[in-house]
Amino acid sequence: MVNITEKIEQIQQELARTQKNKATEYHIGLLKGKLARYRQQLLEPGPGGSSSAGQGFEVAKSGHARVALIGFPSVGKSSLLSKVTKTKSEVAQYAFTTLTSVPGVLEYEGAEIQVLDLPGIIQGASEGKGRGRQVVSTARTADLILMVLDATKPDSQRAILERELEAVGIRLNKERPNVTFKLKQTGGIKVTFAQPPQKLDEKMIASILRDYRIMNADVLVRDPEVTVEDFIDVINEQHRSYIPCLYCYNKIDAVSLEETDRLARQPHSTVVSVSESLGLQDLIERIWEDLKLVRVYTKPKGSKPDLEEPVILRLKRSTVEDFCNTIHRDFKDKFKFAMVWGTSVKHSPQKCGLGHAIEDEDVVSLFTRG
Amino acid sequence: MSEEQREEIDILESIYPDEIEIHSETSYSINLSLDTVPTRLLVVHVQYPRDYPEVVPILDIAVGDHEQDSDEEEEQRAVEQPQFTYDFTSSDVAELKASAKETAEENLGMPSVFAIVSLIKDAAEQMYEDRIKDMELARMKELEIAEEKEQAKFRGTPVTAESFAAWRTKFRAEMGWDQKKERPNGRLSGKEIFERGVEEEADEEEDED
Ligand SMILES: Nc1nc2c(ncn2[C@@H]2O[C@H](COP(=O)(O)OP(=O)(O)O)[C@@H](O)[C@H]2O)c(=O)[nH]1
Repeated sequence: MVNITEKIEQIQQELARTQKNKATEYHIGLLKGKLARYRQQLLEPGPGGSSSAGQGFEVAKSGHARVALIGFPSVGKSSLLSKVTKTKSEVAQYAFTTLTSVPGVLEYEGAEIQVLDLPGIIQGASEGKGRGRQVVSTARTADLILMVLDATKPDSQRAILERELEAVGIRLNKERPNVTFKLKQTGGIKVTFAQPPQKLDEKMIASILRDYRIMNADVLVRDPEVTVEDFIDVINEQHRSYIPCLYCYNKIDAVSLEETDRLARQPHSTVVSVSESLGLQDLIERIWEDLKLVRVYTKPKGSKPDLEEPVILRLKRSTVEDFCNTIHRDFKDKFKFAMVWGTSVKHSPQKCGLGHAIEDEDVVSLFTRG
Repeated sequence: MSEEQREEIDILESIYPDEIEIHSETSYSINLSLDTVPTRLLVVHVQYPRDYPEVVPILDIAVGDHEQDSDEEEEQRAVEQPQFTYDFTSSDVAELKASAKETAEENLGMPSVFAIVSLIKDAAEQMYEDRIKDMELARMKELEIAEEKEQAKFRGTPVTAESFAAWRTKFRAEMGWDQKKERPNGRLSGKEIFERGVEEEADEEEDED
């Protein structure tokens, strides 16, 4: 096998060398497409190869959501983990080959949030090292990435980690590009733009697809701001993860209040001192908000709802049907209707069907047949 | 063409056998390779007026194209690649031309092209060195400023439990984090409805069972 790492290096050098202008636009697009493909090959264990990176070592997901800690060594990840989470002894049975410590559980607002400390840096992952692959595949399963940074270190630490995550297909605080891409058997390449594109054109799309040996496909670009990078992400869809990221600056006790204020104003950022227990409550609040969990309170017929023990749903999977499924797999077969109190309905209470989307802090009563 | 002119060209041809290009009996150019790393080229064009050396020669200076190094040479050079390189600008060339003209005028009456070309070479090499020095100084200054900025974050108000608490209160107020989340038409959440005891019961409930 030709060394993929070398190929990647070559393309990166060529990209760095090539001046960006109208004439080189397509060439650059193609290079970026190739780069994405080689990076992908690195992350996939070779066919029949020594794929120790099996799924078997994955840490079992527990609780309502998973937060992955990422950061350089010594930024304070394990200190943070031991301060804000409880370690559950049961999880210690798993093989934590990818982890530097046992996952902890953060309990908040009735939800159990699993917090994992991923090894120092994903470095090596984008270079195809076996362990790195496991780390990446674990990181992908996170509902939120908590990037722990050292407030006493230069800003570049953040960019380095962002680049690493970018290289393995993880997109932070970014929406999936609004492009529909359908592979076809025949018919050639058909490209439709819902609005005149600002950063892309048909020729670019066609040449990238050709490079991927895709001859037949329908492409519908809805968002005029979609870039070449976005489009390459769409083709590599199954290897891309769009994950919210919260940047946590630790050790603010070692910098000035003015610097603390500056860091707190960075996008998606929060400031803490783990050792001095400063800002931890705010950090937990921000984690909670970014996870966008939905608390639903169950009201038994004729009595008050239990406002202490909510059922926790994900924002994107929070219909009445999802709620029924948390009770029992077959519950929805008996379902007749739900009465809902809260912000998701015009008038409280309101009779709703399975498809109704529940919002945070709604109270729900379920009515069943016979 | 005068005898003096022909003699000077002969001498120059022996001094610059590879560098000189004769264009006509009274005009030629000399390709100067400067002793800089990497090598920079200047082309000095000389044209004799009929009365030269009683009048100054017509001079022009141009920046030559970089020599295409062979791969081997390039590889060799890469090891000793300096941190900064510089390309002469048109104003540098104008400056060199002005000093060349001065030398020409000082030497009025005698053949002066060798003196002029030597001067151009020395002046250009000195200029190159100065420019690189300026760049190095600027870079050092930049690093100092960056380092100073990096250090600045350790000075100022210390972060203590008290100073942090005061900052936090102000910061949260500024961000509007302590206000209850705005809900459309002041609607209450389901939890709030029951906490305040303002719920309406479901009519349907009685119909059930
Ligand atoms: N000044 C300061 N030091 C801290 C803070 N949190 C952790 N540390 C120190 O940073 C070092 C590394 O912490 P650790 O949790 O092991 O980092 P990890 O390698 O990211 O897990 C330890 O010496 C901690 O005592 C903090 O808030 N302020």
